[in-house]
Amino acid sequence: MSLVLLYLAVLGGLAARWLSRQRLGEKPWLEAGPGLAPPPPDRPAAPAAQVGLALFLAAVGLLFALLAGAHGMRVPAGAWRVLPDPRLVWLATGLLVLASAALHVAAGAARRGDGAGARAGLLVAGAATLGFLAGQGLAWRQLWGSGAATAPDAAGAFFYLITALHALHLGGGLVALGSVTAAGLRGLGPDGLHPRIALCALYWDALMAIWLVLFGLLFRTPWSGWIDALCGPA
Amino acid sequence: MADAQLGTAGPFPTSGPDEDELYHPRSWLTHYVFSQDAKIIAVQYSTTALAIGLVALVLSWLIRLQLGFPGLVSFIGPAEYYQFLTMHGMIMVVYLLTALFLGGFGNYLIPLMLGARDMVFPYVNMLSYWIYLLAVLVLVASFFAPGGPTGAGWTLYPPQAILAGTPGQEWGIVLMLLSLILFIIGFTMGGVNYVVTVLQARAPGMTLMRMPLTIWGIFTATVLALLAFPALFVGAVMMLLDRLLGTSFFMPAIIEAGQRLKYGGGSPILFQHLFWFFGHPEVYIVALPAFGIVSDLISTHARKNIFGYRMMVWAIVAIGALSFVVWAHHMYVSGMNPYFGFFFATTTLIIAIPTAIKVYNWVLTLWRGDIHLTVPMLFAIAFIVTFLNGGLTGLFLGNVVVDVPLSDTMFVVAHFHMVMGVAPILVIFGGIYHWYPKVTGRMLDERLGRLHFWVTFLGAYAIFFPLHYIGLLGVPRRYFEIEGLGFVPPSVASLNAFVSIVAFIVGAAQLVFLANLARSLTHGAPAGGNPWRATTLEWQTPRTPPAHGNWGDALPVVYRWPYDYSVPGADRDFVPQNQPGLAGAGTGTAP
Repeated sequence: MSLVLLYLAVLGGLAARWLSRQRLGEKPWLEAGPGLAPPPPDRPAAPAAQVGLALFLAAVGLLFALLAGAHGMRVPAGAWRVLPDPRLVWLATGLLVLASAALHVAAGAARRGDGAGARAGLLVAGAATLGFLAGQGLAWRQLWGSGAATAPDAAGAFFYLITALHALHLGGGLVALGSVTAAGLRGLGPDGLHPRIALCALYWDALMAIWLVLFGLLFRTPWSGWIDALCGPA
Repeated sequence: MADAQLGTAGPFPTSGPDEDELYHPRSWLTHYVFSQDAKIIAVQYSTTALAIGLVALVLSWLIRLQLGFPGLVSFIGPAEYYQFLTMHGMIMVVYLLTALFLGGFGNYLIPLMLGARDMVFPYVNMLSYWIYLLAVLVLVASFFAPGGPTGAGWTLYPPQAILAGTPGQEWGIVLMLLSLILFIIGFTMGGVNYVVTVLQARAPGMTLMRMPLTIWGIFTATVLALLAFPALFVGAVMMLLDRLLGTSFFMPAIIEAGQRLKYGGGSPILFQHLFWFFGHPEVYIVALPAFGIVSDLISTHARKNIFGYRMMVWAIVAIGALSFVVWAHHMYVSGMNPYFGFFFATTTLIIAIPTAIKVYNWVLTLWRGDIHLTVPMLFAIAFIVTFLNGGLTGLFLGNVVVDVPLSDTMFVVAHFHMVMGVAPILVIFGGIYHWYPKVTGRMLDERLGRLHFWVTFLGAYAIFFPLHYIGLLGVPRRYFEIEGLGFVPPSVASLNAFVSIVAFIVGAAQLVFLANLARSLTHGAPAGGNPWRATTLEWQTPRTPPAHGNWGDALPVVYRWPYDYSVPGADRDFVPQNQPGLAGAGTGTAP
């Protein structure tokens, strides 16, 4: 469960940092006047949708941290790894990284007013994400064929549950991405596209980061030792 | 009604949605049913929560009928008893208290108290309610499913929750888990809305340290809920898979009726960790909004600024943070490393510090105040006493060596009913009596309100004080009947009968409350815009009940904190937050 506590500590640190900038030490009972505080920030406030999405992703992150912690309690470190072909999963992971990068490229293009570049980035991101999901589907099939899925230990069940929930979140993201792409193809300009692509990019970044942790948890990777240490029983 | 706003946003930039950005309903259906207006959604949440709460009330009557008069009615057998117990607990904690505080009070008060036009994501807010309603319907459906609702206890502990022999093992547990999953999805939509609205849609001048404590309580509780509910979500999904697909996340190798089941190697303790990682913050998800609302009720009805506002804010934040590192105090008897027991006992007792700060500050706010014993004030004071009582027995149970012998006795039942049953419900009543005039434009009947208060308050003590005593005698909780247990003295039976009779009377008093709500809608005295002469923004709206968009043409501008009562030099004993100087402009309030 260390991963969960670490995650909460990070969130707590971010919250404390934010609160420290909110003048919680002021004495409102001594003040009166149009205190349009807090003072103007260095950069414009983030759009509400971005803040809302970040909050949602914080909750999603905790969901997967809890699953990883549960995996650590139920599946001893190193007891089970890599039943599906790891090359296939490495390839799928590469596609997810590509999708995330493509969305950043698309966001940059939209910011510069390059509508064609933005649309191309969106299409690449969508295709790469579909490729990732197809790779996960093949891994599911391989695992099913090996018989591990029905084995009495929980490793196979955890693999299905964790990857399914991750894929479900990506699927939801794909609906939003599809809507943005369709809007772009119907002629929505770069100014209209940019905030929407930025939201998609934030969502894909988070799901990619979550996947990298899950990848280390479920498969043998160079960073699996770290993940095991964080997810093992306290 | 005439516009008597004091400060409105002219040259100031507005952070909330503009009037022309607001969604405007075009039909009766989108106005009152599929509404995106937070005020309507608040009423929808509240009525749904009160309706399902009424079911929980009837279930509590049935539970008490069995405990007080065992065997009196034939339709309550052991299976039904466990089903009533389970559904009563889950409905009260999740579907009533959480939904009413955050979905009901949160939706109504956040935009109005902050000077916003609406929530920042009105469509998602609407979806949140409809998914909540679906969750409630799925839960209710389990009463009609084959085998009835689950009787696993509100904690739903595996393995027994999904084994044959537990009532509702076939459909009940499945519907319960599905309902919880839906509830969490719906809440997440609403919760993100509440937090972002507080962060981004405050009126000009409304700094965080000028927010009413009600908003601080709801805001912090929502953040807690967004971080606590994922644990319940994970637990519910995994148990659902154990039940439906035969996985072994929580199910150990087990023999049932002489047959070895297909399960093996699962960890029931893992579920307990997940459940209580949600379950303990849940106590504060309910308590923090109550803390905030009580602070505002006391300050308004004692005509005095809240004592130690800054400490109150910090205490809310500290309690919220600490609530995530105490969960295993619910698991002392499950077995754990003694150092963990020491750690969790310590963190549990540390929470008493910020909580005590709040209690002291409420009492010091009352000290030499111009106390008006209105119905909301009666409920607020009753909350302080009740929360203190429940909190003190929490100190007993937070200690490992005291908890172990008291665990699973009626003492625990009495403790948590006082601290997170009766106490927050008293605040809900106080809040409804306080804000009903703003919601409907009419006052609730005072005499019926006092009758409701005294029967509820005294009745709750007549119910739960004896239960502490019964628990100390060692009477276990969740037993269908205790006759024949050698260590239980005969006097417990008569005490149980007394408690049950009082419970029936207290339950009936809630029907008086509901009747008052309904009757006052049409027969209540007109309330005017600010009947309590309060300072916070919701009482300064141009119209009562507030119109769609809340503020007419311009948002209010906030010039001061929300507790300027009895300020020396002011021409009235309250100075609204949107009043620039101490002298009121006109009446300073909406008519």
